[in-house]
Parts: sequence; structure tokens; C-alpha cells
Amino acid sequence: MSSEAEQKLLAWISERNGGLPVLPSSNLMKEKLINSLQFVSFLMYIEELRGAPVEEAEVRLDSFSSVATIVGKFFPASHN
Amino acid sequence: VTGAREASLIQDDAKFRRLIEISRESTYSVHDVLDWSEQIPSDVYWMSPELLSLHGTPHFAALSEGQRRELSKWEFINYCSVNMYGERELVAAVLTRLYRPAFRTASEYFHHFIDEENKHMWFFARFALQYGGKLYPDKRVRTSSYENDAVDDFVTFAKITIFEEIGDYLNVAMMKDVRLPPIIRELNRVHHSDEGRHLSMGRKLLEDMHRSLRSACAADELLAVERYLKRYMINSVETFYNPYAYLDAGIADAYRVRREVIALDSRKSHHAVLLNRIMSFLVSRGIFSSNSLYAEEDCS
Repeated sequence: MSSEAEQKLLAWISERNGGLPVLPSSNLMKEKLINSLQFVSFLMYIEELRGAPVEEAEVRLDSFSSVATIVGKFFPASHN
Repeated sequence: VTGAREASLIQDDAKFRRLIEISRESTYSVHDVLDWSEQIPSDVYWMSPELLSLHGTPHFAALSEGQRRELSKWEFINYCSVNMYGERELVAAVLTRLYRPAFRTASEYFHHFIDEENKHMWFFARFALQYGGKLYPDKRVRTSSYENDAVDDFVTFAKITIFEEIGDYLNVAMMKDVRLPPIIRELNRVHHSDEGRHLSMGRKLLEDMHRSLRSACAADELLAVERYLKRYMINSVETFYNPYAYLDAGIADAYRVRREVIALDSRKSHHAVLLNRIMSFLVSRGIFSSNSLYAEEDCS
């Protein structure tokens, strides 16, 4: 599942960047792969994939720095 | 450029003097303006059905009348939540500019603006908490602002004006809708009454600030700002598609529903209606080069 989530998140980002290949370690904000205006839709997609909301207190930029970080933090059961 | 702008952003303060006069004449106690003892019956709409995010979609057609009313309740709670967070953000933006030289002419009015927006935040939050038992969470993130102060100021006030124009369209529709409970109509009326002045302020600032930007920025920079603001417009209307509200209304697969309806042409047409007045203003003043909204989306 972690691999599946990772692949889906990478595809979501790539689709919004003209098909640009995106790595799990790519820094999403610093490399401008996601901007603040796309963030809520991205978060909604993360919640849809994990089947549960991300708590408001957990919505911090450093938790979403890369797809690898997101999968590690928000898909923990499947990450092991 | 920044020094000159700081000294003389607003040449004519007659508009602000008039807005201050009206604000002083229109002041009210936020605790007295609405009847908080009102009970809302279970068989009424809380938000005009035509304004609901699923309206005109197959998902809406599949709902019973009771489910539509339930959806209207939670979408109105979401509307209150969106307004509370949006106004918190714009008050913060205005506070950081209070008495800065570029905004000295406007600062006396800024005090009224902050006072009135503080009242709005209070009654939106109170309504959501008293009648819905919750505010929906705010899950936006903030990233760094523009390095150029002039651009950052302009974008900030453009976002304020866009946000308030969208809200005002909904206020006007709901304050006139006799299907809605009195407290909801009155809340929208009070908000609309104050927002008319805030929109007037926003338009005045945008015209003055963009005049300054045109002489200081290259055409491609101005186009990048236009693209960003159009994406902001889309983002703003998409806040009304809240999967948590769908879940509270008993709609299954809420995230998928959100994705599907946002992509529908019929909903995009509705967004254009919501944004028509501010879009027309921005194009007519040469601030936007065109009124196309979704054509710019990939460029954001």
C-alpha cells in the first residue's frame, strides 16, 4: 500500500507539472512542484488515499516536504 | 521604486474619508445585531439550494429533499468556517500594513475595517459553533510571500477583494431568500452591509497600487501575478466543496464526489458567475488582460 500510495502521489504531482518525473525524495515546495494554492487539493487526495483525515495540527509544511516524508508520516501502517 | 511607493501610494483620500463617515454612522454592537435565541427547524434549507456545491450535478439529483436540506446545513457551516478563516487572514494582512507610510492615508479606515471584520469573525464562528457544533478545520498552508514589497502588497489586497466579492455574491443571494431562517438571512444582510465599504476600499487600493506596479514591473511579471490571482480565484471557490461537509450530510465517498464535481463544466460556469463582478472590474481597469479563468490554470 505504501508503494501504491507513493506511486499515486508521484503521479498526481507529475500530472500537474507537465509530466515531469518526480522522485520520492524531491522537495515539493523548494522545487516548486506544489504551490500553496494546490496544497488543499493535494491534501484532500492524501486523505482520500489513506481513508482518514489529516488532523489540522498536523498540517505543517515540514510534514509534506517530499512524497517519501508524506508516506512515512501519513501511511505508517503500510510503510512497514 | 519602493521608497517612492511608500511615500505616495494613495494620492486622494476623499474616498477613505467618506468610508470612515459611513462606518461611524453604521456602527453596531455585534452582540445585539442577531437574535441568538432563534431555533432553526429541521425541515428548512440553511443555504439556498442553488448555491450548494453539488447543485446541478448528478450527485444532487440523486439526493432526496431531506438529504439536500441536510447538505445545506453543513455547507452553511462550512461557509461560516471559510469566512471566519478568510477574514482572519485578511485582518492579519491589514494589521501588518497599518500606518506603514504607503498606507498612511488608508490607516484611519483600516481601523474600521479591522473592527468590522472582527465582528464578522465573531458572528460566523458563533453561528457555526452554536448551530453546527463545529468549525471545519482550515488546512491551507502559507508559503513565503513575494520578495518585491509592491507586488506583495498588491497581491494581498487583490486576494482580499476577490475573497470578499465571492462572499458578497453569496450574501446578497441568501439575505433575499425567504426559504432561509431569519437569523441566516440577517447574518448575510449585516455582513453585506459592511462588505460594501470593504469592497469599495479594495477596489480603490487595487487601482492605485496597480498604477504603481505598471510603472515598476515588466509585462511578464504582471502576467505572472494575473495567473496567480486567477488560480487564487479558483482555489477560493473550491473551498466551498468540502468533503467533511459531505460526510456530515451522509454523502458517501466524499473525496471522490469533490473531485468529480469540481471538474464539471456546469460547476465551472457557476464559478464564472460567482466571480463575474470582480473579474469584470479587474479587466476593465487593465489589471487583468483577459477574463478567461480556467485557461490560465496550468500556468499557476
